Amino acid sequence: MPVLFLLAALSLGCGGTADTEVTAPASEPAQAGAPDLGLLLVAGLRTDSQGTDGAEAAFRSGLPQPRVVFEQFYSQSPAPFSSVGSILTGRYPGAIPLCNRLLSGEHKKTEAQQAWCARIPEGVHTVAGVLGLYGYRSLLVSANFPGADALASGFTDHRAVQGWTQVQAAVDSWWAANPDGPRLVVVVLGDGADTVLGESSLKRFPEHRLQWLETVTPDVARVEVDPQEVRKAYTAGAAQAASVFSGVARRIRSHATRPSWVVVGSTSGMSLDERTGFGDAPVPLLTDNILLDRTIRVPLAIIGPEAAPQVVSTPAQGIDIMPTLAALAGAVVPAGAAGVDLLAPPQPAQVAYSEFGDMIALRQGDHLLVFRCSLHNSTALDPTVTEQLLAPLKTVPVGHYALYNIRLDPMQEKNLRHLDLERVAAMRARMVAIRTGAAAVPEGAITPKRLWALRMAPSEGYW
Amino acid sequence: MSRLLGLTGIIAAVSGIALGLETSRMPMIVAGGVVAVVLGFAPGLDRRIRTAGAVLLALMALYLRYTGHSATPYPAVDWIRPRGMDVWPGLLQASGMLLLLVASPAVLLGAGGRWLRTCACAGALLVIAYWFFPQHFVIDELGAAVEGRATMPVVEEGRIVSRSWGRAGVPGTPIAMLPQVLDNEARLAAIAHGMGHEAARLAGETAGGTLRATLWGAQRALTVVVLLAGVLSMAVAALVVLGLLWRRRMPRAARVGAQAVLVVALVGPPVANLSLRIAGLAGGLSEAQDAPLFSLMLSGGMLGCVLVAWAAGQVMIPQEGGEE
Repeated sequence: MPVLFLLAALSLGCGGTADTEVTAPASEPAQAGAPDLGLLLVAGLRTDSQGTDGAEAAFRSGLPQPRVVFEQFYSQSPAPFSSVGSILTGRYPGAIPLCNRLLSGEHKKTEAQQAWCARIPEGVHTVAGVLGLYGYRSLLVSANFPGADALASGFTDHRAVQGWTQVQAAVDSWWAANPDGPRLVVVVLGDGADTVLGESSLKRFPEHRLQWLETVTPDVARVEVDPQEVRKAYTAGAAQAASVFSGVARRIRSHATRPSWVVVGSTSGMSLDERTGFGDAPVPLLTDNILLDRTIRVPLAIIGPEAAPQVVSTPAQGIDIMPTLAALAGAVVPAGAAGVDLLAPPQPAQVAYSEFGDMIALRQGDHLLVFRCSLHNSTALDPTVTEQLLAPLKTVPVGHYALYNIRLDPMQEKNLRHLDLERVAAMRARMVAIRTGAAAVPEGAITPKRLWALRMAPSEGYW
Repeated sequence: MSRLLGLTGIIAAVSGIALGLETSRMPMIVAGGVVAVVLGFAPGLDRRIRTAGAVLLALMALYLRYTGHSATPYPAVDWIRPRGMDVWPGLLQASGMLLLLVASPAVLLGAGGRWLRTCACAGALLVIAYWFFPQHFVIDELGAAVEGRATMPVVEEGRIVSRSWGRAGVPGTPIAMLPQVLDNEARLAAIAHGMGHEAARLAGETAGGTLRATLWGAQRALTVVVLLAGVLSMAVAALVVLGLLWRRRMPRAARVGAQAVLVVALVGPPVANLSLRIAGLAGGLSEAQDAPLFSLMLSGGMLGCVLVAWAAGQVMIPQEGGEE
């Protein structure tokens, strides 16, 4: 009965408008054979088809079999903070609503000003909170991952560690202390700068601060890096993450009788030394502060007892992870979670949607449509982004839209916008539908005072 | 004049401790103050060391000021907020002004050693280059209120009206965008003014409307003055370059004028903000009571920064210019 009462409360607290979000509360208690679950994510690791010389392969090879591999998996934001928030809630960042972390200034002051979007708010349910209603105990382990506290909503425990080498001990001790009932372990690895390069000594501008200078004045400020050195460091970081995840996955799969499933992947990607994909402007070195295919397309694999090894090549996205874990646990997905079960048969019209700052991207089939309205230093929550998106195609500057065939052109060197106007229009319509629908900022969330604070915040970059 | 530097250090150290609770940067402020005390009062210290230390301290204080900036809805001259693509162009421009403040007194007297001349040259370059460096400017647009779009209370001709608030990114150089930036500042002031009135109305405050309108009127006028002083600083930079080439004593009017422009551009905003804040507090405006210590730290930090730079410039005059 208490579980049913809680589920009723859950259904009432799902937010959004009553007519669009009809909650289907779970009506069953915990299933007898509920599996142990793991979600293991590293920041900044992108897919391998884009010239990382084996980073993803090194990552995959370090993980156990059997597994389902998703080739076209997209995070909802290139910013790890927003991406993880989206994964944990099954919602697009704007619908949580979650702004990314401010990048500079007196953080104490500015984050307090953005408290309404600086963390997962009460009333928005995370996968940990939902599974908790089904008897799950849950642990979030964050390793050098800024803002993890703000994402720990619904977890039974949160342990923040500095080094990746401390993750295994944190998981092991918690695992031993919670031997009964099904368990959910979520691990997020970072290096404090949204990448997997923390251990490397690569030369670069301080991320998010001087990177604009790096691209505009090459004679004065261009950092010369050795491409091989970059890829070596990137691959080493990926292999190290796989090593950590392999140990954690072994622990999660160690129960003698209880089945287990582990979802392993990356929160977001990054651009290494490539310069293309941002119109005429060169992309800064080693960055995730721009919405590009390589900053949002990431590896993902699901490891489980009944997972027939296969490769899924239809687009999938971060918000799908929560419904997947809920389905494995036999839980009902709360209203507002917009994703689909990754282990269910893929839907042919499946798309992936991401947003960051003044940029929105939509992947459909082989193509990626990118919208950008040149609101520097803005947040994707800004209503102007929606208004600019809604403006008729003929009235907006040509540079606002770019279309790429990602299968043939993963580095986004050739903009097909003028060659395929029909596709641009169709994909834009889908983009608008998501931006104003499942990804819309909840009505009433942005008050005049909040809008002022959002727009006046000193950010030194998109957020 | 080195005493002035030392005194500034004492003020910085004490205020850093006093305001430490308001900022995580307290240790840097206190450390900077201690260094300034040493530079100012240590006997037998070479003037060049005193000057170099002061310049570094001023630049550090400026950096802290810029990166410690936060959104301020209260009537204030927000000259730190990036109007272009990033915080850094504005920071570099202000650094250039500080360097000119240090070097111009001696250079305009026809004096200055290699380092001081380098300092002047770098300052002039930063000040001039800023205005011709291409950026994207965010221009705010006010339109008729439309259902479903973000609306803001805006003061127009003395009345509060509801307007939609949109934005657009416009490419351009600061010098070419100046008229649009000036108009934009007026629009932002009208929005912030309207928000202040609306917040007061919702809080049941009936008094203070006239004072608030007066303060916002002052803010709008002062913003224009500060922005134009920034433009005029290009003329100061040109004058300093001329001084570097000519190596003769400039007319007194030119020297005083150059200092005045730099002081208005650098000291004007914090002095104006302190004055507006004090007037608001005295008049009982609720928004003036929001984080007064933080505001004091931001304004005080900039004043200290300019004071240190000015002191460093004065330290160099006797040796390099021979006027004292």
